[in-house]
Amino acid sequence: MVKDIYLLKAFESGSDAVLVMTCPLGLCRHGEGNLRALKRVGFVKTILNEIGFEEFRLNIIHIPSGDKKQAHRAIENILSELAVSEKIPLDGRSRQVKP
Amino acid sequence: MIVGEQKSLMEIRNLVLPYPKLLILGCGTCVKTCFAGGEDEVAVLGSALRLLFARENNTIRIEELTVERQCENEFISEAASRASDADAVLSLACGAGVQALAQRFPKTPVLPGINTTFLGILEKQGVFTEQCSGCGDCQLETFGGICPYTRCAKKLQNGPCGGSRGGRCEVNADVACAWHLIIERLTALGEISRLKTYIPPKSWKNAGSGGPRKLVREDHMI
Repeated sequence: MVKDIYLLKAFESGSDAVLVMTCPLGLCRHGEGNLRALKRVGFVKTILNEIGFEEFRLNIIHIPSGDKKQAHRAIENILSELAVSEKIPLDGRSRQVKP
Repeated sequence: MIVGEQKSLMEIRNLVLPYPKLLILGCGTCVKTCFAGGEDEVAVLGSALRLLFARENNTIRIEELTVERQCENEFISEAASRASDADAVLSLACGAGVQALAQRFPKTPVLPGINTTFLGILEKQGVFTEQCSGCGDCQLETFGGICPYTRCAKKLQNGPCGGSRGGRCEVNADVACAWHLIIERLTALGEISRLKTYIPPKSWKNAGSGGPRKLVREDHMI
């Protein structure tokens, strides 16, 4: 299940980009899991936009099971964007305090 | 339930900026249901603020906690030690919750992270609609359980106005005409004759005209 916090935590823990892969729309074995994932990614993208992250850093693709070529292409695209982008500043200065 | 909407990230950023150590305090009842201030929303806001502040080289420290209800002292007590350690508390509760915290923690600034909007219901997943104005003088039996004070744009109590088209309100076509709904429902119930009686102007004396309202239940006081 894709939750907003999982996506954000990935960035907090140092990921430069996140790619969510789901089955094609209408073909989710959990009914509407991929549709919900699409909505969550859209919402988190608005937060990341407000923070100033580039559009490519969070993406979702819907690919048929086993379609390695499409998955590979999506990852390559993100890597090429990353190659010409700044790293996300995450030096731990603003951090969550454990109770 | 009380429906509220979280303020924008930048608005919240500006509110919390002067405080080096912040506690984001969620409320696990109404605002959790409307996706504004429950445990999930506290976690998301905390994470978003940390990412934002890291980008700005800001050293604000953020704690997160959610209590069952911020409008009851019994639950607020669970947050007492964490709140006293913080330079400010950002409350993700309705306005009542924010004020309850301010009363309970006189030395700690309490900041509102939510705009409280209305008393409403979950109409369908992700859609909340206003249903009640808290007038203190409920007459829903007359209107077939549909409140014209709240749901008619003109607040007519002797409607309809005649401006609706196809059951939609002329002020906002996205909204069903409350009087259309009232007439349909009373007809279906066989109680349309209720509307033959003129309804006199509503008494607003119970609606807060004399300052903040108070409800005392002596039978529950110890």
